[in-house]
Amino acid sequence: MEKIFSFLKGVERLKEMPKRGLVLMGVENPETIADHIFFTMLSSWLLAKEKNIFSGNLLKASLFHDLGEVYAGDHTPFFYWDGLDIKKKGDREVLLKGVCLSLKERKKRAFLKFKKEKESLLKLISFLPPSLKTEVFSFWLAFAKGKFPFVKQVDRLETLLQSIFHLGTSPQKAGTSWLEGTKEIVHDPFLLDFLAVIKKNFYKTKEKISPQKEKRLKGILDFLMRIKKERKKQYYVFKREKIRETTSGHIFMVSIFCFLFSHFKDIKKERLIEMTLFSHLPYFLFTPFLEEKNYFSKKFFLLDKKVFLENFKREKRALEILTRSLPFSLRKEIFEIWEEVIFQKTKEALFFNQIHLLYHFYRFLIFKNEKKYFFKNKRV
Amino acid sequence: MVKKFILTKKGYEKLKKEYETLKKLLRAKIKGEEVPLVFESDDVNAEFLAFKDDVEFLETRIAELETILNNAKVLDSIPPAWKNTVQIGALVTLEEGGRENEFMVVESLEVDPDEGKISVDSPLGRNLIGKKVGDIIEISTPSFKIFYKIKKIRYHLS
Repeated sequence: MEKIFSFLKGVERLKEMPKRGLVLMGVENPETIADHIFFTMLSSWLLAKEKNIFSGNLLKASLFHDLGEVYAGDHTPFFYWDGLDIKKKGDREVLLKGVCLSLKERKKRAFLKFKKEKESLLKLISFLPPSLKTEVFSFWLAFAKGKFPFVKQVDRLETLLQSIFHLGTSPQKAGTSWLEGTKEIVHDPFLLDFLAVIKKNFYKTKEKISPQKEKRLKGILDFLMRIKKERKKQYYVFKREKIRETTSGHIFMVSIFCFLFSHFKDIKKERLIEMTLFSHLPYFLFTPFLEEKNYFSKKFFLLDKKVFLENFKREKRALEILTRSLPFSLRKEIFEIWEEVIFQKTKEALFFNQIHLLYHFYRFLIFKNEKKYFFKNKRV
Repeated sequence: MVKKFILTKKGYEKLKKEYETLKKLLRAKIKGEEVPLVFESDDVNAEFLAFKDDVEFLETRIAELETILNNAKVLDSIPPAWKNTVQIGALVTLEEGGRENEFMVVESLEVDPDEGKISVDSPLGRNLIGKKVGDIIEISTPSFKIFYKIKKIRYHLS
C-alpha cells in the first residue's frame, strides 16, 4: 500500500504542472497536465462514441498518455530553448512562428523525448505491483509508438482548443503554429470534419461539411469549450478543512484511483473511468459542500433523504444545462452513466462510490500529513 | 473494391512484424499460456501488452492487419511519372522566410508526427500531393496567409 501511495504522490504532481506551451506564450494560470489529460479523456470518449469506434482501450490510453511527464516535464517543440520569453522581441517572433525542423532533427528530438519520458514513467511505476506496472507501461508505450492514432489526433485537437481558449486565433497573439501543427497531424476523416468545424467557428474559414454532421460536431465543440470555461471550478473534498482542488484535477485523480483499485477485481476499469467523468460533470457548474455542514457524509452514505433529493435535483439540472448542446445519443448515455452512479444501480457503481469515498479520505490524510499533525498525533 | 495501401518497405516490415507478434499472442492466449513481459527494451511491441486482456480487440486488429498486408503495395521503385512530384514516400523540404521544414508524406498507417511522417490524408499532405519543386503551398485563414515554397523532393526507398 505504501508503494501505491508513492505512485499517487508522483501522479499528483501533474495537477500542479502547467502546460509548457501556454506558459511560453505568456498565459497566466493555464491548464495543467492533469487538466489536459481530463480533456483528452472527455474528448476521446465523445468523439469515439460519435464515430462509433469507442473502446475502453481509448480511455486508458488517454489517461496514461502523459504520465511520462511526471518527472520528465512537458516538452514543447522549442525543446532546447526553454528560456524563451514572449516579452522579448526576438523570442516573440520565434514563439509565434513555431519551429521548422529537418527530419534528422525531428527524429533526434523524438528519440530524446521518448527516452526521457520512458525513464520518468519507469521511475513512477516502479512503485506499483508488476501487473499494474505492465498495464500502465504498455498503454503509455502503445500511445508513444503511435498505436492509438485516434487518441493522438484527439490529443492534438485538444491542444488546439487550449490555444484558442487562452490565446484566441489572431496570428499576432496566438501565432500560427498551433493550427499548422494540427493540420500536419490530423488525418482521420471524421476528425478532419471536427477540425473543419473548429476552423469554421473560430478561424472563420469556409468549410465543406454536411449540415447534419456539422450540427452534431458543433454541439460537441460547444460542450467542450463550455467545460473549458468552467475548468477551474473548485471541488471541495472537505469543506470544514477547506480541502479543495479543481474539478478536472479531481476527476483525473479519481480516474487513477479507479484504475488502481479495480485492478484486482472482476470489474471493467473503463466503466469506472466513464463513471468518474460523468458523475462529476455537474460540479463544473455548481460547487457542492458549501451550504450543508455534514453534506459529505450524508451524500456518500445516503443518510439524509432530503439532502439526497436536493443534491439529485441540482446535479440533474446542472447536467441538463451543460450537455444541452450535445447530440441526443451522447446526452442520453451521459445521463444513464450519471444515474447509474447516483442510484448505485450496478456493482460497478457501488464499487465506484467506495473508491470515490476512499479518494476523499486519501486527500484528507495527505492534507493532515502536510499540516504535520496527523502522523505526529496519530489522529483519525 | 478493397483499397490498395501504398507502404514504404520499412513500414510494410513493421506492420508484418506486428501481425506476427499479435498472432503469436493470440495463440498463447488460446492455449492459456502466460504472456512474456519486457520492460527494458524499446522494441517491445506495445500492442502485444496493451491488448493482452482484450481478445476481441486483438482479433479485430489481426484481421485489420491481414487486410492491409494482403492489399499492400510496397514502394520498391518510383514510377517515372512520380519522379519530380510529391507522392507517397516523398521527403519534401519546404521553405518559408528563410526557414526550412522537412516532412515525409506517408500512408495514414505509417504516420509518426514526432518524426515528421505526415499522412497523405492530412490537410498539409493533401496540399503537397502532386506538387513540384518551386510550387507554392498556401496555408491561409481569413486572418493570416503563409506561403511555403517546395525546395526539394527526394525519395528514400530503403
